[in-house]
Amino acid sequence: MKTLRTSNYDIAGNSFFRVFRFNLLNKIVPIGNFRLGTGLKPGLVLLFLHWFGKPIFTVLVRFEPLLHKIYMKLGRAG
Amino acid sequence: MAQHVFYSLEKLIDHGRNGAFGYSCITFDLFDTLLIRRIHDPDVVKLPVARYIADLAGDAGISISPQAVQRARDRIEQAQRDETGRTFDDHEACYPVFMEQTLKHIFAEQYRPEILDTVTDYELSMESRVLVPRALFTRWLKELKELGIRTLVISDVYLPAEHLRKLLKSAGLLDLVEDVISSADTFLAKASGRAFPLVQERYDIDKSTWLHVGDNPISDGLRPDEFGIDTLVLKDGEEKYRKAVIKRYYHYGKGLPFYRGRALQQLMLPLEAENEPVDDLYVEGYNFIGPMVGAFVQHIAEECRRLGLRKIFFFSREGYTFKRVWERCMPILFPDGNLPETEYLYVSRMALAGASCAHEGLSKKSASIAMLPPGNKDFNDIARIFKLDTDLLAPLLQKHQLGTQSCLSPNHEGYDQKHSVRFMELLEDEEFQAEVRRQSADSNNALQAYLTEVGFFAHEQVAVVDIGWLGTIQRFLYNSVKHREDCPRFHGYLFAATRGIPYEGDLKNDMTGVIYDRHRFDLAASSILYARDVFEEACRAPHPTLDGYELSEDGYRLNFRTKDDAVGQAEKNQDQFYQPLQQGIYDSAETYAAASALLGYGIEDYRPWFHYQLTAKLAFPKTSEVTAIRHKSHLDDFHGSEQPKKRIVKDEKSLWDCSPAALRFLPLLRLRIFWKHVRNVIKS
Repeated sequence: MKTLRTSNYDIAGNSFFRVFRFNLLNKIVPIGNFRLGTGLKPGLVLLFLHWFGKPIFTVLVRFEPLLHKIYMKLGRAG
Repeated sequence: MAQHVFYSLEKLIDHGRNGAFGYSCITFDLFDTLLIRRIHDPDVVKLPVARYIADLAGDAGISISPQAVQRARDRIEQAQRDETGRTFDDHEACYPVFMEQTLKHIFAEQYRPEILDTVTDYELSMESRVLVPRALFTRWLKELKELGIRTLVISDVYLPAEHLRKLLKSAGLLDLVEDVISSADTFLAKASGRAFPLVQERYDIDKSTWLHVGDNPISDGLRPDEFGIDTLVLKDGEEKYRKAVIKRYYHYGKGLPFYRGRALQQLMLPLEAENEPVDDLYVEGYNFIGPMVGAFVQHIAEECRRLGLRKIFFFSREGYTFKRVWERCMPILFPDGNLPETEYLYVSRMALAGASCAHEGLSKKSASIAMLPPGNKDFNDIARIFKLDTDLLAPLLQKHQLGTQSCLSPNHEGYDQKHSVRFMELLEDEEFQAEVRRQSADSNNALQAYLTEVGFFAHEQVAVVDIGWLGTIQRFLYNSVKHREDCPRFHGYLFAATRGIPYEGDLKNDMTGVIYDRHRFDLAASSILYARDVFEEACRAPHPTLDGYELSEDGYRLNFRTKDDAVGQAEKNQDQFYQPLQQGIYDSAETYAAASALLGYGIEDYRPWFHYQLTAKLAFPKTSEVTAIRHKSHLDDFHGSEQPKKRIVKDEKSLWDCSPAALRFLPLLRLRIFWKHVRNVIKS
C-alpha cells in the first residue's frame, strides 16, 4: 500500500530524480525521442524544488513581505 | 481586536478550536482557504471555457478562435470592473453580466439565453474539478456545526453566491455552512472592508464574538481588524510550495514538450484527503497506464471529429476499458457533445477467424497469422482456430501429401520445408477452399445478423478500436463483411500496432497504432513490446472471451467460452489480481480529462513523456515494479499447446520473464536486453 503522491508532491513510483536520471542516460545511450528532454537548468531547478522546496518555502513564507519588496526592486532594476 | 498570522494550518485550527467557544460566528474566506485549486493560476480554468465557447460558435457557423474568445471576455470583464469602480470602492465584476455580454458579442443575433446557461454549467464544472476542500478545515467546520457556532463563507470573486453554493456543494461543504456571500452580488468586497458591515447587518452578528479566517493579509487580516473583528490569517508555506511545483511544470511545458505530460500528471495527483494509501497495482494503473489510455481515447475523439465519424465500435474485450474511460473523459474534454455514438462489439480472433473464411476461403495471410504463435504447429491448430472439421478436410490434405499433424511451423521439431510448399498448394486448391467456405458460412451469417442488429452497416464509415497488436480482429472482421455493398469504411485505431504480419489496408480499411506503430520508427514507444500482456490484462473486460457466432431460430447466438474449466477459473483469478490496476485506470480517467482540458494539449504533446514512461517502466523497471505488475500467466485460446524448440523459447524470454533475483542482482541486465531490443527494432 502506498499513496499516489509523495509528501514532496512527486509522482509515487516515478520520482523526478528518476526522470532526470533517465534524461541524462538518454544523452549517452539512445533510449528514445524525449523531444529536448528535461533540459539541464529546468531539471536541476525541479530536482532542487522537490528535494528542498518544502523546508525552504516553510521558512521563506515568514519573510514574504520583505521578499516581495526585494522582487519588486529587482523587477524595477531589470 | 487582534490579527493573528499562522504559518501552518494545524496551528491555526488549534488556535481557532481553543477559542471557538468565545465566538458566536466564524466567517471563512473561500478560495485558498476552505478550497484550494489544483492549478497555480485560477485564470487557467478560463481557457477550456474559451475553447468550449469557440466550439459552440463554430457549431453556429461563427469562426472564432479560443484566444479571441478569451480576449473578448477579459476586455468585457475589465470594462465592467472599471464601471463598478466609478460607483463603488471595489472594482468588482459579476460573471453572469460580463459573460452574457461576451456571448452576445460573439454570437450576435444568434445569441440565446441557453448558451449562457450551458457555458456557466461548464465553467462551474471545470472549477469544481480543480477545487479540493482542505481536509483540516472540513473537519473543523463539522466540529463548529456540532457546537452550534454559525459559519459563513465570504468571498471576493466574480462568481455570484448562487454559483459559489454549487462549488461548495460539489466539495461537500455546503451543508456545513449557514450561507455564502459573494462580492459579485453587491460589489461590496472584503478588499475595501465594505463587505463586513453588510454581513454584520444582514446576519445580525455581534462584532465582539465574530472571528474571520482567511489567507489574504489585507482582505482577511487588515480590513476585518479595522472593522473590529478578530482575524486568523493563514500563510501556508506548503501550499505555496505546491503551487511553485505545478507552476514550474506548467511553464516549462510551454518551451520543453517533455514537461507537458509531466504537468498533466502533476495536475492529476490527489491532494488533501484524496491522497489515501492504495494498492501498489492501483498506483500503476493511475500513474502509469491511466494517462496513456486517456490520451488514446482523446486522440480517437479528435480523429472522429476531424473525419466526421459518427460511430465507434470498441472491440471486446480490451475495448471494455477503453469505452468506460471514453464515457468518463468525453463530457469533460468535449462538452459540446459533438462526438460519435459508441458501441461495445462482441468479437474475438477465435470467433471471427472462422467467419472470415466464408467468402474468400482460407487466405495465406490468415494461415500465417494462425501459425504465428510458437505453440501452433500443424493443421490441427489451423482447424482449431478457423473452426474447420478436419475429418471432412483430411482427404483434401492427403491429396497434397499432408496430414493433420504434418508440422507446418519451423519453430517445431519435424518441420520440413516441403510441408510449407504443399500447404501453399493446398490453399490454392479450389476444392479445399470451397469446403472451407461451406464450413464457415453459418458462422459468417450469424456474425452478419449480429452486426446488422447493432447497426454496423448503418454508417458509411466507422471507427473500430482495439488494443493491438497485429490488427487481427479488424482484419478478420473486414474480411467477413467486405463483400457487402453496405460495408462501412473501417478506420482502425490500435493502442499499439506491432504489425508482425503486414496489414493490407485498402481504401475502405485502414489501421493506425496510436501509442506505438511499427510504421513509425519510435524506439522508446517500442518498449511496449516488453510487456504487451500487461496492457491486455489491465484492460480486459471481466467476461469470458467470445468463442463464436451461431445461427439460431431468432437470428444469431453469441457463444462465450465457459468459465467453469481450469482455464476459465485461472482467467477469473487473473481478473481479480488485476482488479486494482483496472480501478486505477478508471479513476484516473476523469482527472486525466480535467487536467488535459485545462492544459489544452493532445497526444502529440504528451508523447515525449509517454516515451519516458514506457522506457522507464517497461525497459528499465525497478524489480519491485516487475514483481508487482507482471501477469501470473497470460491465457490465450489462439495459442496452441505444442512445445516449440528450446532455442525459440529461449529467444522469446524477455526482461519481464526474469526472476526477481536476476532483476535485482545481475548488473547491466536491463541495458543488455534493451540493446538487443534496439537491434531488433532497427532490423525490423
